[in-house]
Amino acid sequence: MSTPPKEKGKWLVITVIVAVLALIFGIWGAYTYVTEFKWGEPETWTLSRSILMLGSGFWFVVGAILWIVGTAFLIMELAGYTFMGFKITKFKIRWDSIDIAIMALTAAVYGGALAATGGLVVIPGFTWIRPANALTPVFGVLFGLPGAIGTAIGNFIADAFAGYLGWGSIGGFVGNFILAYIPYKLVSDPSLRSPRAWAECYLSIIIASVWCSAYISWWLYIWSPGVSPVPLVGLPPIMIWGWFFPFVIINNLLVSVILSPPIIYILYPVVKNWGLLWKDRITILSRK
Amino acid sequence: MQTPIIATLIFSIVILVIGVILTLLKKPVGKAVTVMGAGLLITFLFYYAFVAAGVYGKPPEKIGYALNILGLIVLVVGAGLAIHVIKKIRLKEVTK
Repeated sequence: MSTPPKEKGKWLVITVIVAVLALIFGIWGAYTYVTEFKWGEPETWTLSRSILMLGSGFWFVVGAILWIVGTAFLIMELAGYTFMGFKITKFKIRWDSIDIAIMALTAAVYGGALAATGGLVVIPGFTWIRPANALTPVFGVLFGLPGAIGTAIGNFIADAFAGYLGWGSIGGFVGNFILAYIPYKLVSDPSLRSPRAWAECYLSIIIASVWCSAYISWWLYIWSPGVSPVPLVGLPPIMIWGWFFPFVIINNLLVSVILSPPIIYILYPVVKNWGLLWKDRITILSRK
Repeated sequence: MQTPIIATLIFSIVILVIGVILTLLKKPVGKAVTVMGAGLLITFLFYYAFVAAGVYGKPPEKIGYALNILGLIVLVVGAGLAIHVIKKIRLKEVTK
């Protein structure tokens, strides 16, 4: 049954509003970062100031909740349970050679693309923009769980290439899983052939960007000097919440909002024809 | 400081061991967890190769585009192999 025109119009308006707001926030964040931020003085950046104003105690609690729920999602999915709407459902994925190949494919493409574009000057002064970040929602929406796990492995590979491999990479591993997982769960129609699906896609990119960043930041925070009795991360807490947290949100958000939905739209027929779409590869067993 | 990298390496080995145990217990997810662990350990091969080559800590102008080219090779070879495997399996399924 097709969507009534009135309903379509409503979703179109929501899509445009969400996309424009996300884009404005991303551009504003990037612009103010370049023009205001001074290394070692996070309060020079307007976005950092707003975040630090709430206090590290607030972000510790928010980060802890997102960390626990995010980790639970990963374990739950591996145990064969998933969310269908607000219900927990048992599902079956074969984990056959194709699923494993999808994991390898997404890991190699994401890790390789991050490394290949590492340090690439996209716009002068914006050297930190990682265009490959736009692939995470694509892998989640089209390939589902194997795509999300592949994304996590890909980020780990990229960390080695960038020289960042360390204890923080474990947070990055699950954080990037979430970056692909949230769009996988929130976009009801992976073909993106309806305005509602586009709205869900933009919304999922915003939620995933914040969640991923909060997840990694909390992980870095609890292992940072002054917080952990055995510090395994070198970044001080003020730089974690004042620089890393907003920096990663903007970094993920900007490229994903611009590139991911069109890439999903273009790749969907190919992925569907090859029988690689997650909807065709999992079986829902029961609802709890 | 070597502690964080050793801790991360141990974490990766633990994931691989859990994956192998789950596979031996015939749990379907075992293969996925094993691949996760293997993926993490393969990353350490890159890491130690870069350490041996003295890549880390060198100024970017001395390394040039070597890491970017290597990243591109990982992308092309990895994606090529995965697509080849998928094509082969699909061909088998069709001819069955």
